[in-house]
Amino acid sequence: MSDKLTTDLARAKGVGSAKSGAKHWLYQRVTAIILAICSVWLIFFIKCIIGRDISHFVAILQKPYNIAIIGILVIVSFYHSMLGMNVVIEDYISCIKFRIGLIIVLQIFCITTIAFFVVALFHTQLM
Amino acid sequence: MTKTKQEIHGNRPISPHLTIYKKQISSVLSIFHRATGVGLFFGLSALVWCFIILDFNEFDTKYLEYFKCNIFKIPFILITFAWFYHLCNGVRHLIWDSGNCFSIKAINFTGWLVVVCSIMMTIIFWLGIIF
Repeated sequence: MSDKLTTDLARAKGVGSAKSGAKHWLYQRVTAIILAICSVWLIFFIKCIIGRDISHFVAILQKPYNIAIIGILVIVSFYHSMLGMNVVIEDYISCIKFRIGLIIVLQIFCITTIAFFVVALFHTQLM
Repeated sequence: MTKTKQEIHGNRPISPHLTIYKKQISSVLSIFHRATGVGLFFGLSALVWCFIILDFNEFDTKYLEYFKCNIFKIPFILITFAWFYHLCNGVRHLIWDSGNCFSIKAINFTGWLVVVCSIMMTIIFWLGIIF
């Protein structure tokens, strides 16, 4: 990472390891397991909604179980893909400034999308 | 620390030498796992933003008409294939993380198993939806 984003103390201590790699690795795996389990539910969910009327889709989304699982699924997916895209950006973009900028844009995008999605889910309940 | 890769290495070739590297099932599946991951990120983002925009417009029928187009089936088929592939290969990676299946034979076998499973799952999924 760039010198300018660390404190003087951190620089004095030396570069060392990233100090957060193990957590990144673990969260990637834990979210992967959650997503693999939720995928089974998602297959049946898609089977239920496809080719049907939009009012049927809204009615399904208004059931508490479905809204809870789809909320977890989308939030966990975005977290998992945020971690994954972070690694991809770090691997392929060698310009440090551009790399850090892109990672920040990625994180802002993911958080915004999750926030809008949760609001949209609650908005569905009011229909 | 502030030196770029170009300054450190000059114009020397950087490993891995993809042009002379023999394609193997393990390396092809590995890069494909990453490619499908990136694809799924963009696919999921597009789907979620479509849902958000439709939802904020109270699922107005004039917007829904756009999605009835047959051309939308192609990205959906690609997304489901990427999803099943990433799921199958992800399970394979989790098995490796638990310390199993590291022999060359097992890696090749599970690799081909992932290819067959993901294609079969995509076909069965779409047949299941059509019928």
